[in-house]
Amino acid sequence: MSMHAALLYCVPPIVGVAVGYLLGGRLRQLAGLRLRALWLLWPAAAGQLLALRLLTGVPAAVAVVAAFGAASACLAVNLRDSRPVAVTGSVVLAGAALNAVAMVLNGGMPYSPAAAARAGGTAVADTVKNAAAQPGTRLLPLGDVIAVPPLHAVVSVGDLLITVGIAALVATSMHRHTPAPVASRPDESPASPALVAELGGR
Amino acid sequence: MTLTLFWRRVAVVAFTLASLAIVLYTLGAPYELGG
Repeated sequence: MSMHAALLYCVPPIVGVAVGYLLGGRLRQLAGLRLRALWLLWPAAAGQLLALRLLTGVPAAVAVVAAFGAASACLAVNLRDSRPVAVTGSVVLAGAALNAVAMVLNGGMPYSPAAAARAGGTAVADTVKNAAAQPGTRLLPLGDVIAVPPLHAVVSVGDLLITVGIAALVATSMHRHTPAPVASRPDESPASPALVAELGGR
Repeated sequence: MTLTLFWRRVAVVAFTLASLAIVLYTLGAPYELGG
């Protein structure tokens, strides 16, 4: 992985930390963020690394699908937690879904050669995950069509949604940490001290 | 806050941020050019 690529994947958390500070948050609050099954992301990343660097053909495709599934599952099991996690996690999953649609329809994520030329850098061989768009490519607008010259990359709308979702998750978690809400009936309201005293006296 | 607790928090925050960086790597599909 090149330095530019490493920076690309660090953008979401870095932007999140910056926005979090601008909103008055503190990085230490992030220690209070409890995400379930966070460990699932690491074997997912390892699987994808294998798929992109060592495997080819069907095994590589299976590894990519498994990695995608594991990372999605990690996010999905956290959607019932606090509202910020649910909202930002949903945004990330929506971006992942858009990417999945483009990849399933085309057997991989198509990228625009014109956008790649605008992004700078040197062209690299297609992988199991990325392939140059052809005349028959379906839903190319969901593919990698947005050039990011500073990072020598081409990203998709789905990638942008994932970036926004992760950055928002980090920023909101720095701002305040709210535990998962306790289920309660809508008609319930906090009892006033006076009411508690009155009931206690009966 | 003790020094141990401080470093534990640093480790938790670093692990969380690194894990969240992985999300774009696994669920995203950017085309990375060389150079």
